[in-house]
Amino acid sequence: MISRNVLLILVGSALVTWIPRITPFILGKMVKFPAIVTRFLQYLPLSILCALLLETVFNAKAGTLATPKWDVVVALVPTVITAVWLKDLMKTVVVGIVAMALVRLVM
Amino acid sequence: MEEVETDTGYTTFRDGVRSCLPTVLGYLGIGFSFGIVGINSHLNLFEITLMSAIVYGGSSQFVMCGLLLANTSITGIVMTVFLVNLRHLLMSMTASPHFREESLLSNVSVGSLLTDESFAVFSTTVAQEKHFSLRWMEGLNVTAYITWIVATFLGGLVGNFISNPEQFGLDFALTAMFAGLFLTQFEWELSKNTKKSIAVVITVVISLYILLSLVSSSVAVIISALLGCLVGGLAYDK
Repeated sequence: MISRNVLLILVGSALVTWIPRITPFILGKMVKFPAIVTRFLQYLPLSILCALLLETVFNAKAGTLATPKWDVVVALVPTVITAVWLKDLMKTVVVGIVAMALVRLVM
Repeated sequence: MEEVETDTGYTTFRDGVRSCLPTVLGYLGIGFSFGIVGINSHLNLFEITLMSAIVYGGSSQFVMCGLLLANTSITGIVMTVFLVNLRHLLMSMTASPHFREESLLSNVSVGSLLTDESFAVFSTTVAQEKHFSLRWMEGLNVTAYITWIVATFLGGLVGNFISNPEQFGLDFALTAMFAGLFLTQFEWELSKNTKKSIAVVITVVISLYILLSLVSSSVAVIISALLGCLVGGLAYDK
């Protein structure tokens, strides 16, 4: 059903993912984070969503300059227009998937 | 605390489920393509479903498949997953103060199911200055979690018949979802403090682009997000 190696990888990966996720919630119960930390983290949602979005746009390899994935860039155009215009995440995702399928058909 | 007044639409578990719905399609698209990729990386249906249930981190799971195919060592894979998912530490640090009054167990459960997407929905709610309950957050988290596992399983079922989900544009669900979530957040931040939000975004864009050529992309995301916070936090108000 499951090989020993895969099981070890899954359990190990689960632990190293889970611990950073829950530690701040456990610490937060015991101590109050300094105001300065909260002040800076206020900008985390905007910063990290921006970074995560851009990360998916680039082919990156340490040591070389990042290059844009052109199919992603092209598919992003109708996606962003939909997002700004309709402000509906579900429609944005549908338009994105269809756009990308079309782009891959042509490119 | 339960006694605190919560806004309509942010009170019950059902409200949380409803708040999660816009992201459900994204989870389905990504989870489904992960299932296909997993099967094509010589994992079986049980292994990929278990992975989605206990690792529960989209991008890290795709990375794991690639590393498994490349015969990377167990420690190599676990270390990589750690780095790819380390960004959750920052998200948890940002979200956790809002749950201080809740029990330790509730805190652990909210933290365990925190994802990029649930954090984004949560953050937009905070930016809109809505008051929400623990039940709402649980509804949001649990809906996302179940959707992810079901989508993985379904993708795994058809994985033997489809080798590249990319052909259908499914992998783009991730980018499209991040684009939608980012733009929603950006719009709220812009309305509150235009100059500062633009400064933060420009900082992230430039630093991420430079960092991508220097360090692994997961580390680049973390450092550029921190630099964005630094600029936002240091800039004068008004």
